[in-house]
Amino acid sequence: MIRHPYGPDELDRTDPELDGIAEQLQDYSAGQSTGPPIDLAARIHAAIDAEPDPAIGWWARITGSMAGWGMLARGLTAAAVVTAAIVAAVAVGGLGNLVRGPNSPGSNPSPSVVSPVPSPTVSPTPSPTPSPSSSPTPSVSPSPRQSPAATPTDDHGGVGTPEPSESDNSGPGGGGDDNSGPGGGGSGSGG
Amino acid sequence: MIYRACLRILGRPHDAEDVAQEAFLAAFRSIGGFRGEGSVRGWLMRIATRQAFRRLAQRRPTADIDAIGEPVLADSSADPTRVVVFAERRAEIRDAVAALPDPYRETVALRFFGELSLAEIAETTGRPLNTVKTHLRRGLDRLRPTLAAETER
Repeated sequence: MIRHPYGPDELDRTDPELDGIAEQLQDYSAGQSTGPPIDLAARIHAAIDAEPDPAIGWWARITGSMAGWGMLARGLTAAAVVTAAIVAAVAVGGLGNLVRGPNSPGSNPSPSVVSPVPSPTVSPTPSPTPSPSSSPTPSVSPSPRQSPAATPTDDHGGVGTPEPSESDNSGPGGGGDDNSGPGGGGSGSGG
Repeated sequence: MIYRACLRILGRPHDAEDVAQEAFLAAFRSIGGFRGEGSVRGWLMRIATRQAFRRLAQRRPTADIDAIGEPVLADSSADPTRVVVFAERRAEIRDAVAALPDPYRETVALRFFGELSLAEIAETTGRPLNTVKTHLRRGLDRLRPTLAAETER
């Protein structure tokens, strides 16, 4: 007994030769309809019992629970899951920005602290260098006089003008303005 | 049902038993992959037919006395020549279907050996119904040289 007998209208096309081929296949199947041996079901049960439990993934659980749902409901659920994932990603990104918020303009305080120090130091540093070469006597005279006498002491005294060591550190940096430049750029890119 | 489909593809009862058991085990192992699209019967049938064709491809060509069928051999009144001719014809049908390329082979096997309707095949394979009809029509069309010649004998 064939479960779904072949009908000539099944292919939406009239072709007696194709119908004859289909009927041959159906006759062949009808002739090969002997049932399984009695113990086959017991063997299969025993083999399955001997198997470890199959691992079912979380996605299979979700989709398995939706087995009876319609196509529209499945599509809506999938869309909701995707939307939730996007919202979660955006929320995490926003939290990251909030956490990083006070630190990202942190480049501003560092130049503000640094900027007063280099600004006076930059001006004296060029002055000694041209002083030996170009010899403008009035401008050069105060700074070398203070520097040989005061450099060892004023490093600890902290007067501010004779600071070749600190001025050298700030000098290559390009001064306070240059330090604040990248800092500002960093905050700009961060925003 | 699964066993019968395997028997129709393989022609040998012992092979059909083995493959049916393997198909149930494979289905049990991959139960997590069943998405609920289509019936469990169709899903199982698809696994079984694939495994049966795989077994058929691995089989060495031998004298196919097993495929003649025990009920026919038990019938002492049957003409031996007719029995052999009948067995050969069945073997030719099996070989012709097995030689089809996929997806025609799968569609023809599920439709006639697995006794699934076209709608069930469409659900099980995830293909549109019209595509399944086209596959079946083309599969039958490719069987035309073999099976149409047999009808002329």
